[in-house]
Amino acid sequence: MLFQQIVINALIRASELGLLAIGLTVTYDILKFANFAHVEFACIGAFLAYTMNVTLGMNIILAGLVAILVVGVLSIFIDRLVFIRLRGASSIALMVTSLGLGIALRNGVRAIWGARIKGYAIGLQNPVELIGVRITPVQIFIILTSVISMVIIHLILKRTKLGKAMRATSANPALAQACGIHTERIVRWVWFMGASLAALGGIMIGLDTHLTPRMGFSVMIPVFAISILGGLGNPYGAMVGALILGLTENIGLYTDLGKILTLNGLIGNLTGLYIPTGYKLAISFIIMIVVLLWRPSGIMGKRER
Amino acid sequence: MVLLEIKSIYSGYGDMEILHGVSMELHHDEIVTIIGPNASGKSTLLKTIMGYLIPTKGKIRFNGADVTHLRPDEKARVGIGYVPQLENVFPPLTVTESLDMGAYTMPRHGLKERIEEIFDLFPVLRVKRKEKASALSGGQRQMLAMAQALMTGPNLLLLDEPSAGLAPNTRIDVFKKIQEIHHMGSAIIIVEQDAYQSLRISNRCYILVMGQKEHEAPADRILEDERIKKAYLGG
Repeated sequence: MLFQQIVINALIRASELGLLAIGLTVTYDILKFANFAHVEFACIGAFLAYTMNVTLGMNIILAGLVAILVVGVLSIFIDRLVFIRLRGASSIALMVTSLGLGIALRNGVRAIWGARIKGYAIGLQNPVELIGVRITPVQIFIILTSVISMVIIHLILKRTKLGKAMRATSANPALAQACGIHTERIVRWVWFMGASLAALGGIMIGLDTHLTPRMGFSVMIPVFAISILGGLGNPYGAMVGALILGLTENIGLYTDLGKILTLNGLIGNLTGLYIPTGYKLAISFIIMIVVLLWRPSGIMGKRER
Repeated sequence: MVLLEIKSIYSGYGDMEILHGVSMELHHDEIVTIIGPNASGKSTLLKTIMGYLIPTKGKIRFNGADVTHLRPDEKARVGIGYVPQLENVFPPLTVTESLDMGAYTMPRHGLKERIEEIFDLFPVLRVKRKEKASALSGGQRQMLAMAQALMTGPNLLLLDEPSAGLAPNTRIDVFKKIQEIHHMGSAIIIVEQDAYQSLRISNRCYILVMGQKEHEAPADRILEDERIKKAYLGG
C-alpha cells in the first residue's frame, strides 16, 4: 500500500478515535477517574443519530447534532443519578461503577435498537482519488469535522471563561471555589463536553463503517491507549496520541514483516508476512504497555502538579 | 461598623469537632490576627468562615446577612476573599489567566483595566504575566495568590499563614502588601504561626487554644504582654 494511503487511513482512524479520547481525557482531568462508560456515549450517540436519520428521515448532519446534544444532556443526567453520590469516593470505586454503567448502557442500546448491524442513509460512497490516495467524501468530512472540533476545543479551553474555569477546577478545585466558581456546574459542563465529543466520535465511526451495540466497547482499548499515550487529562496529548496510534496501527498492518525479517531478501526469501487485521487491537495493547512501562504520565503528561 | 460576626460556632471535619463555640467579630476597617498553638483550630476557623466547613451550631453574619450555610463560591460572590496556606495558585494557568479566574464573578468588561491595577500593586506579576504559576518562586506565588483574591475587591480577605515558608525579606514584602491591601478598603483576618509581623500591622488579636477563644485584645497590648509573648509568640 502507498505510504500516502497509510497516512490518510491513519488520519481517518485518528479523527474518529481522537474525538473519543479527548472526551475521555477532559472528563478524567476534572473527575479524576477513568470512565469506562465513556465509549458507550459514542455508541448511544451513533444510534440516536441513526434513529433520526434513518427512522425519522432527518438529514444526517442535523440528526448528528441533535444526537450529540441529547447524549450531552444524558451524561449530565447520569452524573446526577449515579456519580454525584460518589463524589470524593476512591477512583477504584468510580472506575468499577463506570464499568457497570458501561455494561448497562451497552445492553440498553442492544435492547432498544437490536443487535443487527446498521448504517446511515448516506448513499453509496464512491472514493475519489487525491494525490494518489483513494478517499470517500464521507472520510474527508470525518477528517475535517475532527480537525474543526479539536480547534473548537482548543479555543474553548484557552480563550473562554468556561474553559479557563475548567482548567482551574481541574488544577485546584478548592481554590476555584474561592474564586467564585461553582465547581459542580463546571463538572456538569465537563460531562456534557466529554460525552458530546464521544457521541460525535461514535457518529464518525458509524459514518465510516457501521453501527453495532458493541461499537463503543470495541474501541475502548484504543481510546484508552491514546489517552494514556498522550497523558491522561491532557487533550492536546490525546490529539497527538490519536495520530501516533492511527499511524502505528496502519503501518503495523500494512508492513511486510517478511521483508524486515529477511532484511529485504538479504538473508532468505520471505514475503507477504502481515499482521492479520484481527490483531489490530494488539497494537493498541502494545502501545499502552510500552507507555505505561516507559513513561506512565504519557508523552505530554502533566508534571506541574 | 461590624463586617463579620461569628456567634458561638462549632465546626470540624466529620465527627471530629475542632471549634467549640468560637465567637468573634471584625469591623470594616480592621486587620485582625488570629494566633494560637498548632492544632488550635485557626485554619479550621478560616475554612468555616469561607464555607469549606459548615458549622454544626452557631451563626456567621457578613454585612448583616446570615451566610452560615453559603458555599465557598457563594461566599466569594458576597465579597469574601480567601488565600489558603498551601496550594493557593493554579499551577497550569498563567499569571494573567489566574487573575482572570480571580475575577470570575466580575463582568468581563473592565477586566483588563482591573488586571493592570493589580499589576500596579504587584509589579513583579506584570513581568511574569505570561508565565505559568508553577514557574513562579514561593514569594511570587504568594503575591499571585493574594492578587487573585483581590481581583474582585473583596470587603473581607482571609489570609492563612501568608508568610509561611518565605525568606525573611519576602515576608516583609508580603506584610507591606497586606497593609496596602488594607488601605485599599479590605478588612483582613490573618492566621499566623509567626505572629510578630502580623500583629504589628493588626488592630486586634484573637488567641485560639484547643478550638476555643482564649483571649482577645488590641494587637499592641498583645505585643507588650510578656505572659502572652512567652506562651504564644515564642518569647
